[in-house]
Amino acid sequence: MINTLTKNIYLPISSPTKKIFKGKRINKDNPSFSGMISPAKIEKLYKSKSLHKILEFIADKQLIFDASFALLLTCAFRPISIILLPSKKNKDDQKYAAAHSIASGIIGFTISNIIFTPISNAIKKIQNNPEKFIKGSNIDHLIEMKDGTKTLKFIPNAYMDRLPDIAGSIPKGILTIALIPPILRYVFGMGNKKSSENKLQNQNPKHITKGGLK
Amino acid sequence: MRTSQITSNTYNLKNNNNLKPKSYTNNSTTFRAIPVETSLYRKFMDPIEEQIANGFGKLLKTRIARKIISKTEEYEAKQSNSAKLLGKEYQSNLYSHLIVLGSTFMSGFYVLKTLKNNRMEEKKRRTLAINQAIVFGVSTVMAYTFDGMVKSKVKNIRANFEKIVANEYPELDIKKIKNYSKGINIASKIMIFGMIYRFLAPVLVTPFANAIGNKLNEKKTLNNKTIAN
Repeated sequence: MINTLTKNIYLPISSPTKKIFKGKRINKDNPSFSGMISPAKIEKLYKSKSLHKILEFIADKQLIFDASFALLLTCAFRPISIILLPSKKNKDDQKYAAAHSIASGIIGFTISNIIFTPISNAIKKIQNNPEKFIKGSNIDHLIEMKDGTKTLKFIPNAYMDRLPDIAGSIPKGILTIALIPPILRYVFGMGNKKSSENKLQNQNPKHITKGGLK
Repeated sequence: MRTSQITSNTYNLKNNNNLKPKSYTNNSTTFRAIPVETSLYRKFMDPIEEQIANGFGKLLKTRIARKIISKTEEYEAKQSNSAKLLGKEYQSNLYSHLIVLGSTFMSGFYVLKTLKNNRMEEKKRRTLAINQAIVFGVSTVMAYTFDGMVKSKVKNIRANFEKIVANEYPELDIKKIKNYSKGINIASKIMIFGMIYRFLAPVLVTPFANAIGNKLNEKKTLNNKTIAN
């Protein structure tokens, strides 16, 4: 009897590690980025057709999505950060830098849309019907799906998606550098930085000294 | 109705309160007896896009393209085997590498253009070029790091998304669902790399890069002075 009693007695043991965090247990299989968005809202978002349309646009025209996102960054985020953040530059220089950023964003977006829209549509045609455009017994780029149709493998597909951006990066840079000065001059009414420095010199002419006009 | 005639297409009133099955499109059947007229823009662009697609097809069939693709496939297979031996799941970084390659060409071009710009003083040219190079280097490291941190979460989001959409719209083609899922992956990469390359790194790194460029300029002028003396 005494042995059974001693067997069933559990002495309190102090745990060497204390539990400091008592947060929500995150399910590793279904993580949410934060506890703010409820799973029901996420499920509703996944089922929405507008999200599907956006994702289809991103997948089929990723170069144009890239240019659109770059436009948002260069025309909104960057100029606001240039003007709001403290820097050694004066206000005129800050305005010039912000206008430069907006101009480069607009030019990049316009060029990307003009050049990459037909290219994206052409890539989509190849992805929908690869056998029509990629023929040959020695060509290993196609993979057969379960329903008997053939589709492009992941690696040639990835190269084809990004090749226009890689090949067009330098020409786009050349066009951007060439077109920024006219846009700054005629759209924003800003010349070169040198002309703005000359303006400052004209406003403070040399003949006005500390003692007053000579 | 005989029980043998009951197929999976019949309505299960126990589970589904709605009598009509859910359909992805509002009209489940479309009849097109009248041919759809294509717009002028489409009539003009379709042949051009066909030519571009033919060009891409020819490019993918060239020896260089096949060599690059086969080398990449060997590399990816090696990485995947090593990951399996380590007990990890391998996710390809090819899209990230290709985005970085495009940015490398662009940044390299801007650096060379700055160094050859005769309208600027030599010191300013050098400072600006060093600034651009440092910002590009730091952007690349930051972008790869953040992309690596987010990769597994994006993979889980894609898996959940495919499951939920396939359950909700069973008549939807699996290719379309995979395409939507591809959109999630591409959006995450483009937004991460774009945000870091075009906004975060220039804002955060430019002051330090300028300071480093100025210090290097001072060193060079000191060296030139000592050589002159």
